[in-house]
Amino acid sequence: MAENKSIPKTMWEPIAHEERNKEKISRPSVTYWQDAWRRLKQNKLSMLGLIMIAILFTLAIFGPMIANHTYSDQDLNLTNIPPRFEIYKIDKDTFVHVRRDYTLIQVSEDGEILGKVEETEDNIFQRYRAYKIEGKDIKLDYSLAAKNKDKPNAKKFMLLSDGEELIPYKKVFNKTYWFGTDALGRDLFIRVLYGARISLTVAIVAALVNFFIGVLYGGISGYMGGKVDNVMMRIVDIVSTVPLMLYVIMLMVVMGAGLKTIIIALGLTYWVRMARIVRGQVLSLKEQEYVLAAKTLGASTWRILIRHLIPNAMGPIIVALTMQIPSAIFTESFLSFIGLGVSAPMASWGTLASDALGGLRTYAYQLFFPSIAICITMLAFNFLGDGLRDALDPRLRK
Amino acid sequence: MNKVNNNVLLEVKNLKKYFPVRKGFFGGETQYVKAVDDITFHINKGETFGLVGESGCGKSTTGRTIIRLYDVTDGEVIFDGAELGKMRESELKPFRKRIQMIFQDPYASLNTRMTVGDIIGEPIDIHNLATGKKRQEIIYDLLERVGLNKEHANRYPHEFSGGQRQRIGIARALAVEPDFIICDEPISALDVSIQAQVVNMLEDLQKEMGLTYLFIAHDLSMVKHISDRIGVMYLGKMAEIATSDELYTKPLHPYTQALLSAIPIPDPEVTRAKQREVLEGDVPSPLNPPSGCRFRTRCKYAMAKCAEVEPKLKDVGGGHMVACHLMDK
Amino acid sequence: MAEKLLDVKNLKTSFYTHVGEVQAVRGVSFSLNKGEALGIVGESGSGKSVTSMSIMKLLQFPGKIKDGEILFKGEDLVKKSEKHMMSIRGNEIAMIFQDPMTSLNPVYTVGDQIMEAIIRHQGLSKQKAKKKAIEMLKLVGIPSPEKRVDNYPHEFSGGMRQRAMIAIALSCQPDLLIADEPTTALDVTIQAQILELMKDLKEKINTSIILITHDLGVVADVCSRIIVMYGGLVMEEGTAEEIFYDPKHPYTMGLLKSIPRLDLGQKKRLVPIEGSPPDLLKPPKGCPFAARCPYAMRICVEERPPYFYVNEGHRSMCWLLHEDAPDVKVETGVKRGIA
Repeated sequence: MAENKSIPKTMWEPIAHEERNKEKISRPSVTYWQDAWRRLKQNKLSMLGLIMIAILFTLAIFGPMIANHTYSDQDLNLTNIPPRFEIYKIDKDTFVHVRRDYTLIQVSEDGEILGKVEETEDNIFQRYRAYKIEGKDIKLDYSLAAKNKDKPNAKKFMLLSDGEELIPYKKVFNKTYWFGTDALGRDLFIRVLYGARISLTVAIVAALVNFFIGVLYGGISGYMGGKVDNVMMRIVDIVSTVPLMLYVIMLMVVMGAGLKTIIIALGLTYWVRMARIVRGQVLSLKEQEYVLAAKTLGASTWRILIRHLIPNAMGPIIVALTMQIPSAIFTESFLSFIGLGVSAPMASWGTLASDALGGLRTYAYQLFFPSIAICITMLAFNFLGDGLRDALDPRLRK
Repeated sequence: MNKVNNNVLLEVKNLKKYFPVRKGFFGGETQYVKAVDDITFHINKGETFGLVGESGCGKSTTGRTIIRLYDVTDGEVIFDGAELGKMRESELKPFRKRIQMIFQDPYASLNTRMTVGDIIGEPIDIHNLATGKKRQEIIYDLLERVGLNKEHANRYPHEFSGGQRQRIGIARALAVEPDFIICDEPISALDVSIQAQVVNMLEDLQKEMGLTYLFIAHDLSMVKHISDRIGVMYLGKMAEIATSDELYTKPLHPYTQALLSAIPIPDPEVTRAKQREVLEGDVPSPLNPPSGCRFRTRCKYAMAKCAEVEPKLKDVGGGHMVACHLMDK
Repeated sequence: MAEKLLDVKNLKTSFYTHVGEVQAVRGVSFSLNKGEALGIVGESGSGKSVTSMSIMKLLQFPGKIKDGEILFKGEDLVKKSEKHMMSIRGNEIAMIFQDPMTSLNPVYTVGDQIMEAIIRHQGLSKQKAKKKAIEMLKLVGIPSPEKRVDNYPHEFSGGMRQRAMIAIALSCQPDLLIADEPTTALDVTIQAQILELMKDLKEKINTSIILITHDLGVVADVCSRIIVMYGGLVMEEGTAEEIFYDPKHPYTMGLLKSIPRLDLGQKKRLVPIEGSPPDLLKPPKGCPFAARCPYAMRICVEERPPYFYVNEGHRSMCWLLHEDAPDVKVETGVKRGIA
């Protein structure tokens, strides 16, 4: 039997009806987007991706503005300087770096480039160059290079100061040109940043064009259904059978190579995927009861599309968009790499990589930086896309 | 006894709705699912007509065809003297105000990206009934009418319970002040204690606003409770139409009898004492229905005639209509 | 006294979501004897399905058993390892789910799926297992089982799939069968078939059954003892007769009053239970039903009532049964039907 503790009499009074029967909601109001953002925040990788993308955009927009030289400034005296190099101590405050073509560059102890040193003698028969620095006779003997041609790790030159051989003092980072310079003495760092601008512009423009064309086209096709859908989708099939490369080449013939051509080519072909995704979404959503309800209310097709179908298909659309951006970036880089994209002196990551190919064995860093930039961007967008896919998935919503 | 009745609001005559299943790419053979195959009934002003049957019998398709969510394959839908079946969407618009629908799934029938206020306000916007403050007032009024309050207008559907959502759906249907509401299984997704709330609300609204209902459900006990007359459907055909009391006390079609017998009664003694008549087998595919009477494959009284001749829906007295050869004797 | 098969003691299960702890089951105790059919009735969110998933230890993330014991044949399942549970699931405790469309794997034949459990738990050879599978299909009333055993699930209708599910569940002669809304997704005539089958099998193979449902008609038909759950707690427990003819809890009465009775001729207005179920993220301090109860008193809001025993086996969590409680005229809404 139940416990028999005494209960005060007032407790047995009935409580008023109004006091109890309230249709109140105790939970705070959370919209779909707030909920998605919360879930995205939990995903560390996609937040990393988002941060990287933010950094990339800031650098691409503001980097070239604050730099003291532009992407096209050349300095033929300072070509092919790597981002990290060995220096030799000549004197108390005098340091030099021996470039791969056996010429001397004067640098400071912490890696600032001070300028090219003019040689006093260039003896190409005995393979040495002579310099006079701070009153010292410097002789750069590169005759070993010919002897050790087939041995990659063997010593290629000797640096003699007043007849005495110098040993490397230390390795320093290039303070003037962080990523080094290219074959024309242009600052690689600025060029990579500038490349980011080009790549991101292409990506954003292409993505936006796709968004509007693809969403509308797919939305109309899916909602109309039947014959309209059939015809519209066959057009999509035809568009997607022609390879992108062909579009670019044809457009190049008409408009010439350049940024515009690539953007138009991407815009012409990339919406196809978006259209298919949106169509699929709309096909399944249009049988939902809220769409039927809108129809029975007499809502127009346009209203149903804009107010009901597209907002509810927004999740997959955004995911597709974030996945399309890296794909567009990659395509642009690829086209530029094979010479169908932006042309000199403009620099996209693809052209930078392409330019670096010639000197790949000696100046590998020139390929390294644009490639790394492409990789990081692709990864960042893919991380974000994956996170968004999880965050926006209605099945995961509780 | 087919008296001409001025009181009829909706008349459905020989309604057919076929869905093509496989359209051959090069014009090959097309098969049809005969979801609704030649049904006739009418609904009087102010009454509730119940439509029952198992899944796939075509009861929901009937409702959706009447409100023209689907195009009519054949037959007529006469609402208040106007033939809706062949109207174009633009011609239908005035009727969209007079006929409304309440849906089954309270989770799917509200757009989750819109606030409750906007959901209820949508019909007002579509038909340009009011704007600004007036619109707001109508929305608040509707919310209160279905037992919710003003503060709920700014909330999103997912914050409500199933019963509350269903009431929001009712408020949306009421916004255009309709004459006729098609209730498509409005309570089958709700909990038992909530079902009664919604049913009572529908009954009250009917009295207050003089509404006419077509109440579609598979739960015969609830349909019997709310309806004045009931139609029983099986595989796209109307098997029996009768007043709700008569249908229960004097079911004539073997299918109706089996359906009634199959319902478990919440009373241990009654339900255990009851000799349940269990229908063998499953409902045949509507793609390839049996010849003659569609119920004959599961009917214990099936005769040779049933396979050959399709029984017609006949009045056996007092508006009680049955489609069965057993009635011929 | 009959032998106890399952004894659930003060089970508490919570879901740890981002908004906080949702206390789905808040201290549920009940026991089940060998060969008994127990019905758990409740609405969505009452905790009835979470209780059964806790017994099977099949809770989905972020669900966790917080407290309590689940003694099955005297051993506490809460402490058992996942590996141990795998040998119990399907073998000693089997489960049937609501949706027969998704609970069978479409890429294997029905026979394969029945045989899987048999081979795994009983170590029979393939031929013997197949023979057993055919036997099981025959037992659950599937015509020409020799042919049907090689069919894929999509060749079965909804009712037949649920029969196949029952065949899988019973293939290892489990001591306990948990059926979670086994007929909810089925049509009335098919539901009747499945219920007849379950009653029939109960006699034939003497398995204990826990039948979870929201349909009072279904439990009235199959179960001898009934638990009524609400807000993660057992509101009332008793024999079917006690629950239907002598309900002591206002929630049970409310449920009985809110369903129309097909067999009683009267056409009366339904009596709904006003309001909505409690949000178990912030469960009420007192009785979970207080907010919707027509007889609620101050104490109901302040303190959760203990169980009051009407007799051994019939208990109710309601202050109205306290000896100091005022004598409220309670309308039970019960009308005994005429058989």
